Amino acid sequence: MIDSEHVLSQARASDERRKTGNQLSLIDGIPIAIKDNYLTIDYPTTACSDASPLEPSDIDATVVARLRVAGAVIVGKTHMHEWAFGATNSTSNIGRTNNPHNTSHITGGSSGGSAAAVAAGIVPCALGSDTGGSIRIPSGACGVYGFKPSYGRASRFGVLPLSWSLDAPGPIASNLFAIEAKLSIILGQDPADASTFASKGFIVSDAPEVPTIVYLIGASLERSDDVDAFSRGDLVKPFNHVYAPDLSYWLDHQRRPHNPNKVRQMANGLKHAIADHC
Amino acid sequence: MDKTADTLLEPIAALVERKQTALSLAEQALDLANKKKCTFECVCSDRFRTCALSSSGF
Repeated sequence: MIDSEHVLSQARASDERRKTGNQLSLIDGIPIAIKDNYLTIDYPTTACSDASPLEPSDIDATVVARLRVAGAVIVGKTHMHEWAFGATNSTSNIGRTNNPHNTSHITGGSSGGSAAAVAAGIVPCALGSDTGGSIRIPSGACGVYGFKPSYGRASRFGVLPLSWSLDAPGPIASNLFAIEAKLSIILGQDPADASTFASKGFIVSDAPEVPTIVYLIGASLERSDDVDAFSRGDLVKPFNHVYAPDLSYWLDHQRRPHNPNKVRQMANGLKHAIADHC
Repeated sequence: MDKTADTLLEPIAALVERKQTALSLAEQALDLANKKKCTFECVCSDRFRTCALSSSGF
């Protein structure tokens, strides 16, 4: 299903604002797709699970609301790895997401639909969310730009959680400038999310003049201490100890059916004791 | 480079300018999502309208 008229009416309203000099922001009129774990007033939110829809659809996630206020045209919701609990987009109630560059390849995930929609040129910008790579992995796999803001910079209110301790909403876009433009809208304090109490807004002109891009390939990577630590599992273990219990607790309290793979992962998460965090 | 907000954001603003209207951008997005003009097989599947885009939205 697609509510084309709803999309077009948002665009017409934007054009009217521009004609009358009442442009709301520089992204006014830009089509943006939203990952399906953000609550939206105009579309149900499924997290690509058969247990959906499970949240009220009468509110927007704070980040979505900010984009609307800025005049963005919300085009629709994008495919994702079920519950954002995976990095491939191969597990979902509607099947896998194919990579636009080679449809036999995966997109990566869990924001794979957002990255694919940008890579396919459907929209110039999309929203993803990242706990352990869910923006960065699909952005890399689909050849687009993605950015995970630091924890607490962007509000998680209205975003179905994977891990309260690690989740971060963030942008995916076809170019770096669009990332910056969107960050200026979505970052900042939100009374509905206590983790953002110290969040500073983002002013584009304050950004580094020449953005630093770190290429995670090549010989230098092989010599990296961080990569050595990663390959030994030093970084993965504490990550798992934080996010697995968070997710297991939340899904367990949903009291809804999940696929066997998710049930297994939940069981693993519940094995962790509080002491594991210390 | 004169790094002002305007120069940085010009490329995204130009999206609207180049396409004349936000409406034409939206129409392009819808055409692609509905596979009317899209060449990417990721955008549709047999059972659902789209694979890149969730069943809830498209």
